[in-house]
Amino acid sequence: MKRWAACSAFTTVLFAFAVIAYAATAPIGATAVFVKGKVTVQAKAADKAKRVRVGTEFREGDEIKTSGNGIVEIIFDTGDKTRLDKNSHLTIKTLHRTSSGATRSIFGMVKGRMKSAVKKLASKDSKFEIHAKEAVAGVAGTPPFIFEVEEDDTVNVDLMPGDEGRVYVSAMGVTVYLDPEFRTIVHPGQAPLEPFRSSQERLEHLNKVMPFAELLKNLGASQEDINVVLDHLSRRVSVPQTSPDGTTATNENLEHQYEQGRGIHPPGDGGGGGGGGSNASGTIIITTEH
Amino acid sequence: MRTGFTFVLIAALSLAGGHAAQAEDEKRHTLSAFANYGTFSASGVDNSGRQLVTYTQVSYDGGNWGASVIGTMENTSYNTILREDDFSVTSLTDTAAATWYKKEVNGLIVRAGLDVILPTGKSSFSSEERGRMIIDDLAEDIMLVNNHGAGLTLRPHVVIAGEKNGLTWGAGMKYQLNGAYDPTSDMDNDEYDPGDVFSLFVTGMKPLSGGSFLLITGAYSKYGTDTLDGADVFRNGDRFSIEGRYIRQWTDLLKGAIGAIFSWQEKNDVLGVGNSVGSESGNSNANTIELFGNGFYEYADDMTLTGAAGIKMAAANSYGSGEALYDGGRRVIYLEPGAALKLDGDLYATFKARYSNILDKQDAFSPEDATYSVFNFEAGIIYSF
Repeated sequence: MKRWAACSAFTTVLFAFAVIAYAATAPIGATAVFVKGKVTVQAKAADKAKRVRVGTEFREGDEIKTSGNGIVEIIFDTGDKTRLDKNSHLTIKTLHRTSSGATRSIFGMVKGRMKSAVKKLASKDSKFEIHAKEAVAGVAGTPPFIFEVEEDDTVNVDLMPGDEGRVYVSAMGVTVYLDPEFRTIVHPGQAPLEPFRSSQERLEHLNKVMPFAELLKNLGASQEDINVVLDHLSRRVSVPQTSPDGTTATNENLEHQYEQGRGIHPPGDGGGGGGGGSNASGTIIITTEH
Repeated sequence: MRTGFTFVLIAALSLAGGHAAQAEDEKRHTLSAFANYGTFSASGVDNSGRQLVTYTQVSYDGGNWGASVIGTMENTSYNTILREDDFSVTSLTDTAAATWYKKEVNGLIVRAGLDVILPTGKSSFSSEERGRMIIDDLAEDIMLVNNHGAGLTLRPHVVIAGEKNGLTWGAGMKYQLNGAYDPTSDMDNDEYDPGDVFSLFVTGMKPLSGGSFLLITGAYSKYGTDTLDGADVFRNGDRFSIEGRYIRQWTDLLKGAIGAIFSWQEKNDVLGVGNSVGSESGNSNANTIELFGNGFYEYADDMTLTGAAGIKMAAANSYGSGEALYDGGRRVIYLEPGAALKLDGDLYATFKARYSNILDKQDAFSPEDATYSVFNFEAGIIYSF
């Protein structure tokens, strides 16, 4: 009887600790709201990655990879959002709230580029950080910032235009602070460069290549769809350019080039109508998932 | 045209150089090289041949502007039922240089540019050689390249795209200024100047359920009058087409489109009585309809399987059987499997094999129906840097 009572008490205490621990570290919700191309996620305990779709939820320990044509945007229940660009590899190291209400969102970036928009953090103990091999960047209520890890582990951090907020970047024991429209570079084994102003061309380019699609959708516009139509027509009015991934159809490379003189022959050869070659093997338009 | 060539080329290159600065972290250049070998043979008539085409393109895409150059080498040889001797040519074809600039204006995207097609091909043949050339529309379906060279061509173009009420729309036009050239190497006073061509395209794309899209495109081309030694001799009839595509991500790994194209052309203007050009009595241009499908399957991280298949039918023209310009039409069925392999981060190899079965009905060049078998094999390398 005494032994049974002791076991019960011990189990109850363990259960209590578990409840307290769970209540202390409530997970922060994270959901994919935009997916394009191939994006996969592998949970810490899983031995296989699975495909990410709109609505896929992420947890602490998940490893997210985007392919050469893959992009994913994630919204957190803190109101923060992040966009992971093509050819990127990101680990969610920490994603929870502490018992005091502080939020901890810490990511490990192996390679690639991500753009994040972070609302004002819940408390001084809250963190939104990105860790790479050579640098750490963190933020507390800023305009969107872009964190990029190149193939040689060089890190680029850009803080986009906005009213207020700062991003800190640390490496080799040195921390620098970026104001809006400023950037820094961290070369492997070195401290961050003194922040310098981003060029207007760079800011426009970053905004263009990494827009928040969810935001565009809410505004009723789809930049991706406009670019698809633009490309579709451009291939009809001009010499088409070969697709870098090899998916351009053969005829398309040559059809337009040789259009001059099609069906028009010097008299004496029997003439001929302006017949048309096959257009069907031409442009394939890749569906975007919204 | 020739005196203005240098100015236009410099202007095009200057326009390219003056555009917005590129970003430093994207691979903007693409170098590609392809070799395509094709053979055709016919049952029912003595008509066979082969063609080897190698072509290379260098392009730059700076986001807001771009440029490219594509050059092609061909080796073509075939015989026809009308002549005993073969036709053969080994030559560069015309080389195309293109530049474009893109800008957002009041929520619309505008893309404008200039193509310059340089007369590096072989445009002059002897009268004997010209007599051995296939000039039937069939040539477009049995050979990849069937225009070996022409005069200097300039092609300014512009495209606009935007979005309204959930519909993405676009319009584009080009104006092709065709330069004159001498088509024969053994005759005088026969400079041939093809008429200029104006083309207009409009398209609309509507998202449907399940992540699919419907894309409709209309096209119109108006042709100028061809001249020979300064005198009007021919004009192609205005050409129209309408195309619909249904595009879908069928599964996680498979995406593709199915569609249809219908095109028709008005009567040509031909040389008639009194050496004046007027509308022909019938319509030598046939209506065509094509049904097709194409797709991509991500077999592995580094391999995408591609495929295209379709059927194209050209109806008989409006001339009667036995008349000189009668053409009974033709039916083309084609199948093209292929693959794109990622060899390295920025290096791809592509392979394609195409088989076409063509039923060519009798016409002025072929008194009997003939069935053609056409095979094409292509390999290519694409590198981005």
